[in-house]
Amino acid sequence: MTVPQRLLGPSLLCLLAVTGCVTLWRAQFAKPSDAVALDASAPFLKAHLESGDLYVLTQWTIDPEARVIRGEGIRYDLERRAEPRAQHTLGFDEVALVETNAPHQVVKSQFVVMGVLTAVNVGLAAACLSSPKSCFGSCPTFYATTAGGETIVAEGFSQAVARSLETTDVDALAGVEPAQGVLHLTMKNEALESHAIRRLAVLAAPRPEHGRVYRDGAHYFQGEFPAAPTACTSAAGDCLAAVSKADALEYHSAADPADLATRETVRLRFPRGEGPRGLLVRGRASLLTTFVLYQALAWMGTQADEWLMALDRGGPAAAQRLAEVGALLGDVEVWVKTARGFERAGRFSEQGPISRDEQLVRLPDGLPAGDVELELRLTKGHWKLDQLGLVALGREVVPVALAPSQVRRGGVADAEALRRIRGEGPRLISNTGDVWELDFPVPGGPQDYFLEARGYYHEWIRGQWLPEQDPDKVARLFADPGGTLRALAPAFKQVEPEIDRLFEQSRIAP
Amino acid sequence: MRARALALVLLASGCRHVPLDRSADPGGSVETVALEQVPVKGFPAVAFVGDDQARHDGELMAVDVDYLWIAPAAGQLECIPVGLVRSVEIEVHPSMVGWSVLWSVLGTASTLTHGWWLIFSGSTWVATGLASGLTLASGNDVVAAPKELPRLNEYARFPQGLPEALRGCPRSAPAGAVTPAGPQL
Repeated sequence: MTVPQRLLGPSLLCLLAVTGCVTLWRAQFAKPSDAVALDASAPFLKAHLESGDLYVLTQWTIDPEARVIRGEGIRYDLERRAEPRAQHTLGFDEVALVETNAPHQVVKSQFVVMGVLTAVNVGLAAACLSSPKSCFGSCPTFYATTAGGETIVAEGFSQAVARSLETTDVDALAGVEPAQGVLHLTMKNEALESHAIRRLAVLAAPRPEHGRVYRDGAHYFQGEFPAAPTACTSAAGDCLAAVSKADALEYHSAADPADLATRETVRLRFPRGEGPRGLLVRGRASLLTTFVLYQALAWMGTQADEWLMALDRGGPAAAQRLAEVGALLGDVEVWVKTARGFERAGRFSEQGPISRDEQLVRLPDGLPAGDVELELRLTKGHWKLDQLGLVALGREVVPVALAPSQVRRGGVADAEALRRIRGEGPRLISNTGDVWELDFPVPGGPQDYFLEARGYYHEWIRGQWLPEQDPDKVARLFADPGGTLRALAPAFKQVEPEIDRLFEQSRIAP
Repeated sequence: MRARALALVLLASGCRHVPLDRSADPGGSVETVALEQVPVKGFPAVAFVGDDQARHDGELMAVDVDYLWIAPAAGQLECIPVGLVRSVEIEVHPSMVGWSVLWSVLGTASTLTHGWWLIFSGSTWVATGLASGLTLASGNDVVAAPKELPRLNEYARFPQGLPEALRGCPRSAPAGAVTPAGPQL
C-alpha cells in the first residue's frame, strides 16, 4: 500500500467529521401526565414551565404515582440565564410540557458523495504519481462479440509511436464470427493518446473443416488444431500447464533485477508427426516495453514533441535507431533442434500488452527422429505466453482483404471516417474516449479472420512525468540502450508486482 | 435531453426539506453531548408575511392559534397574526453550503493534476458540487405552510405557549398588523 493510500481513510474521516456531520435533535413532546409514553432512552428531558422557565435534566425519571419528575440538571429563566447544576424534583402541576431530546449525529450524504469522489481523486493521483509509467496506454483497441461476450480481440500498431514508425500490424481475430454476413468490430481509444489510422481491413481466409488458418508473417496456412506439448520447462520450473491451451493461464517470468535485457530459455517437447509442422504461439507483451517507452517520454518531457518530430524528419534511419532500443528487448525467438544442433526457425513479435495475438512459426523439414525439441529464447519478464502448440500444416491460402462498409460514431453513420479508414483520404484521427463501430461484409462459408491495421500514434505527455525531464538520459538511451536498460532495472522491479493492476486502473472507459 | 434530465434531478433534489415532525428518527447515531450543550432557545426562523411576502427573521419564540412570535436579533419581540403568515422556514441545522463550495472548488482544482483526465474528473466534480450545493442549501430547513403553523411549536423556545410575562399583543389578532409585543430577549 502506498503512503497516499494509507493516509486516504483517516483523511476522509477527518474531512467528513469537520464538514459533513450535523447534530439533529430528535424530540418528543407530551403533557406531564402522559410523559411515561416518552422515549425513556433519550439522554435529556426538558420540563417547560408556564412561567417560561425551563429545566434541562439528565439521568431523568418520571414517577407517575408520585406525579413527579426527577433528574440532575440546569434551570433556565425565560431569558435563558442558567442557574448552577443541581438535583431537581418537579411536580406534574408545575410543568406545562415535557420534551425529550436525543442528539443524533448524521453524516450528510452530499459530503459522503464528495468523500467518495475525493477518494477516487486521491486514488487516481496516487496510482499515477506512485507509478506514472504504469498508466494505461493501448493504441487502438478492438472489441468484438465472441462466445464469452464482448471481449478485446486485437490492438493495433503498438510499436508505432511516431509518424516515421507508421506500420501495418496484423492480429488474428480468434473466436470472432460474423452475424448475417457482417463482421462487427468496435474500435476504441481508451488511453491518453492520439491515434492516426491510415487504413483498417479484415483479412478473411477459408477455414479447413477440422482446423484453422494460421499466420506466419505474410503467409497464411490452413492447419489442424494445435497439439499441446508434452514438456515445458524454464528456469522457474514446469510451465506445461500455463502453455498447454488458450485460457487465462499464462507463462510469465519476472524481469531481471540488474538488467532488463537479460534473456531466458523455455524448452518445449512435442510428439513428432508426419508432414510440415509449425509452432503456434499465442501471447502478448508484458508492460516492460510500455514502461521503457513511457520512461523515455518522461525524459523527453516538454521537448517530447520536438524529439518525435526530429524522429519523423530523420525518416526511416532515425526510426531505426529507436527500433534498436526495442530490439534489445527483442521478440520471442523460436529455435528447433536439427541434425546440426539448435537452429533459429522464426520469431513471435507482438508489442501490445493487452490483447493476445496468435502467430505461426514454421519449422524446417527434415527434423531428426524422435520428439520435436524447441527452445524459446526471450527476454525475462517481457512476455506473457498463453498457448504453445504444434500444428500439422496444410496448404497455404491467400486471404481476401475486406474494407469496412460502414463506420458509425455514437450510432450515426460517419461517411468521412469511413472514407479515411478505407485509406481513401487523410488518416482518421481518434482521440481519448473515441469509439467507432465498424462493419465488414464478409464472404460466405467458414472463414478465419485477421485484422490489418495501419497507422501510428502519439502518447500524451502526462504532467506527472515532467519532473523527470532529462535530455541527457534521452541521448544516453539512443547512444547506449543496453546501459539504459540496466539502469532502469531497479525502477521497473519496484513497480513490477503492481504494474498490471495500476495499468488496468488507469484505463479510460469510453 | 440529458441536460434537461440533469436539471430535473437537481431541481427535485434541491426541493427536499427536513420533515416537520421532530419525533421522526433522523438516522445516524445518538452522540454524547454535555448537559450544558443542550439547546435551550428556539430555532432560527423566517416568516414570510402578507401579500408582499415581507421577511421577518429571528428566533422562533412561540406559536398559538392567534400569533407567531419571533424575536429578531435586535429589537423587540414581534407578534405576527397567523392569518397573515404565508410560510415559515425554520433552520434546523447549518446548511454547510460554504464547506460544500470550498470542497468542490478544491476538488475541481485538484483535477488540474490529472492532465487530460480532467475532462472527465473535472466535469464530475463540477456536477457533484452543483448538486451538493443545491441540496444542502434547502436540505437543512423545515418549511411550514399556514395550516402547519401550529406544529411549529416544536421548534419554539416556548413550545407550551408564550409566557404571560412576554405577552404584549391583543388576545385576538387585528388583520394586517405586526406588532412589537414585549421585551427584547
